[in-house]
This record gives sequence, C-alpha cells and structure tokens, in this order.
Amino acid sequence: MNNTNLQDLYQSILIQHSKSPSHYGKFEGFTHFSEGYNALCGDAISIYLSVKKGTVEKASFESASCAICKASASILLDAIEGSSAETFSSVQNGFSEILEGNSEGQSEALSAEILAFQGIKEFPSRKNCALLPYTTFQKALNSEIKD
Amino acid sequence: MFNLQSIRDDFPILSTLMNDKPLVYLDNAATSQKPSAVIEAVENFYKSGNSNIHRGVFRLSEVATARYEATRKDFAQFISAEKESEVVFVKGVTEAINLIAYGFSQSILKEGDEILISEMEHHANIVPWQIACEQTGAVLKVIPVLDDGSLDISAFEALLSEKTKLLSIVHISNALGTINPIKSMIDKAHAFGVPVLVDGAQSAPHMKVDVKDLDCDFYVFSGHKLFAPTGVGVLYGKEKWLEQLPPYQSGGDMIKKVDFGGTTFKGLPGKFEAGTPNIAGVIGLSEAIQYLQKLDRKGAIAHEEALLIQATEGLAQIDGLRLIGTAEEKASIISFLFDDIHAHDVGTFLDSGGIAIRTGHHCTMPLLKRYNVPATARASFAFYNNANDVDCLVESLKKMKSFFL
Repeated sequence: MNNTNLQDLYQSILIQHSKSPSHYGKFEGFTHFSEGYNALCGDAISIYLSVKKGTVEKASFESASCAICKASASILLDAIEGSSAETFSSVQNGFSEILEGNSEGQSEALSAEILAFQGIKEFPSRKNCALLPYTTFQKALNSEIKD
Repeated sequence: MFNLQSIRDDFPILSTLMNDKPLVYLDNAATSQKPSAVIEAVENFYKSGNSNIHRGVFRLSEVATARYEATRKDFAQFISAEKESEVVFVKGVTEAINLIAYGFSQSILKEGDEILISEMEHHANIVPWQIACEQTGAVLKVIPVLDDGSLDISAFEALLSEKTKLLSIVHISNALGTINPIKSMIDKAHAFGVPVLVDGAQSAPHMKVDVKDLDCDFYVFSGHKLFAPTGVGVLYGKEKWLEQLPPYQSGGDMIKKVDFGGTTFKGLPGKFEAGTPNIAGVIGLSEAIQYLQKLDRKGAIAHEEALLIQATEGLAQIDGLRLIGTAEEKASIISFLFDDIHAHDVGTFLDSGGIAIRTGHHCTMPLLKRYNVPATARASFAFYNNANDVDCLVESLKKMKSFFL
C-alpha cells in the first residue's frame, strides 16, 4: 500500500459521508431494528427501519465506528430508503463483488457512491468495516419489532 | 554497553520496507520481532537436528532431548526458579492460564469460593476463570481500575478474604502500559493464604523477572513476545501447587504406564506436557533468552523508558489526542485515541507510512467499556526501537489530521 492506495480507500466522497452522514440518529416508530458489532476493531452500529408492505420507507443508523463503516452505512441507507427489500439484496450482492475487486458490470447497477468503495480491495482487514452495515441491515430486516 | 545500532542489526525485519517506507514496528505488545540468532536456531534445528524427543534411542533424538531439557534449566535460571521441574512448556500465556484454571476447577474450587482478577485483564485471564466459575459455582471478583489506569489497591484489599482461592493478575497491562505493584499485592494475598498467578506476557520483555523474589505461585510467559517464535511459552508454578493440579491434556509422553486397568502419570513437569511439544519453538526460546542474557538489560530498560517519555511528550503536542492510561508506573506501551478519528482509521493511515501499530480493543473489552471507548490506537515499543520511530509516529499523526478533517 502507498499513498495512492490510501487516497483510493478514503475517497473524498467517503470522507464527506463519514463526517456528515445521512440518516443518522434513531427515529420514532421504527418497525425493524438490529445491532451489529465487529469484534476485531470494536465498530458498533444500530440500524432502525420502518418497513411497510415490503418497502423500506425510512431507515437510519447510529454508530461508534470508523470512517469506512460510517460512510458505508450512510451510502447504503441513501440507496435503500424508499426501495423494496429485494433492492437491498441486489445492492448487497453488487457491493460484495466490489469489495472482492470485481467491479466490472456493477457500474450501471450501483451508484457512484457505492462504487467509491472499490479501493478497499487493497485493504483486506477493512472489508468487514464496510460490510458491517450490510450484515446489520439484513439482520434488521429479519427481526420485526412490531406491526 | 547498550549499542542500539548493533542491536537493530540483529533484527533483520527492521531493515525491510513496508508500503515503500522503512518499517517502523510499534506493535511489540502484540508480538515482538526475532533476532537472527533465533531465526537461525530454528532453521538449523530443522536442517540438521530435527527429531522427536523423550523417545528415540538414536543420537539425533538424544541431542534434541538434551537441548529441549537444557532450555528448561536455562529458563528456570532466567527467572530464578528454584527447580527446573517447575518450568512447564506450553503454547503461551493463554494455554498456561487455561491449564491452571482447568486444574483449579477440577481440584480446588467449590461453590462460593472466589477468584480475584482485575478490570484490566486480557481476555485470556478472564474467560478461563468465567468457565471455571460456571463449572464449580465459584464467583469471579474484579478489582476496579482507577481513571489513570492504576489498580484500586484499597478495593483490592477489601476484596481479599478467606473465600478467595486465587488472585490472577496481570503484571503489565497490554492495553494501558500500567505496571502493577504485584510484589506488594502478592504479600497481601499471601497474608490471607491466597496463591497468586501473574500474567507476565508483557512484563518479561520489559524487565527482569525474578519469581523467587516475587514469591508468586504461578508466573506465565509467551515466547513470541519475548523475541522467540510463536506457539511456545512457559508456565512457572511452585511445586506444591503444580502437584495439586491434575493433567490438563493427556496422551503420549505424559505417562509412566498405560494399562486398561489404569494409567499412571509422569511427575513434574512431564504430566503437563502431553504429545509432541513445539521442540523447534523451545530451541528458539533458548536462543532468545541467551540473547537477552547477553544484552545490557539495564541499558535496554533505560532506553525503553526514554522512548516512552519521548513518545508521551510528542503525542501530548497533538490537538485532540487523548491518552488512555497515565499511571505513574508505566512500561513503553501507549494507548491513545481521537474524538473525531476512529482508531481503525488511524491504524490504516499510519500503515500507509510504514508504521505498524495496533488498533481495537486489545482483547480487553471490559477495560475499554470502563473507559467508555470502543477502541484505541496503541503504540508499543521494544528495546530495538529508536527515537526516529517515535518521530515518525508523531509526525504522521500530525499529517493525519489534515487528511481526515
């Protein structure tokens, strides 16, 4: 790794999201919730969802986490809010491919912000930071709190 | 005479590049680097000395056995143990504590008994005791840590009682650098008839350990933090305690006689060394302690103290940086964090400049919870680090702020 890799990892769009994340903070009336924890580095995240008729109407998160995790959560929730749960699965699959360095064919399906995570492929120990919001989101979808 | 350049030349990894920069290795509390003498001893053993031990009647095996057992004797002298049979080879501190916790749960602990540990323990000195307590009905008691990272000694004194069956305490905290006053703690525990286990994972690399002077009942070491290979360590235990504990693992080499009617075990230390041990690791450990014995250790300790002072002063100049662990008695381990930059990002940024530090919870999650922080960055120094390493750390952290903020 060198400074170019470092710039690739921390692209300015990710730094901006980590400093001023979208969808930050718990909201009243959420229907789904889960907490995620990365035992390696201590990242902790909570995800709150309001899901109605298969649509994620509202989504938010709170975290004590690194810039990569925070930016990943912010960008994921930007992409998912207002969409169906199925949309999450396709975004998650595309994101996993990007982290493995397989970004070909993803540029049309995914937003430029999600594609900005391509630099992580050079940082294996940081992949779990980016993935934690996704695994936590999936757990939240599976755990309905109330109608 | 402590000659830093000559010492650095003994550690080949220190002249390698990392991310196109000279490696600045500041993760010595996780594992230390190895001198050429250790690397070559392991290599030579496999090239020309490899054999199993305690079994063969052929020359190669006899020589390997002699070297293995000579290391036990050398290590006993290294820590001033009375008898070499009190030195048990294990994988490291984790296995050593598991061995003792298992033995206590089998032979000693009863419902209502208490095990005393502290809030600053590594998970390796927490989890085995939680399991032992679950199995026996014993209760785990915890000595609190004060804000500066020192132990609350008055709370320790209040927690000691006739119910206490063991005090298991870290000598130097891997997360804070605090050097605990274990000699006086051992004296106080012994006044209640309580035996003491000392986790010496961090202390042995930084100071001379004298188990006779400390009068501890158990003292445990990891070779890989002591400039030896991974996968080898030492459990020192007083004979009277080791005799009371049952074998931790069983099988080959730990027996006198096996019969379907019953098996008799070897005496000390063989009853705790089942199976083929890490022979090459023990030979590497032998070289490591010889290396340390040739070293001017007083000079090395003074040098580490100078690095600690330089680093503490350097980090204090950085806006927004907070130290976790400011006890008066500290080894060359510094934990720090920023309110607005996560430790993990600090670690990745420093790595891009060839600087290796540890980030995370350092296997001390209850301790970080006590400070209400999710993770810290930790720089830990060995005697082969130099002032330039400290300067690189401080200058990189100054540059980092403009990168993230």
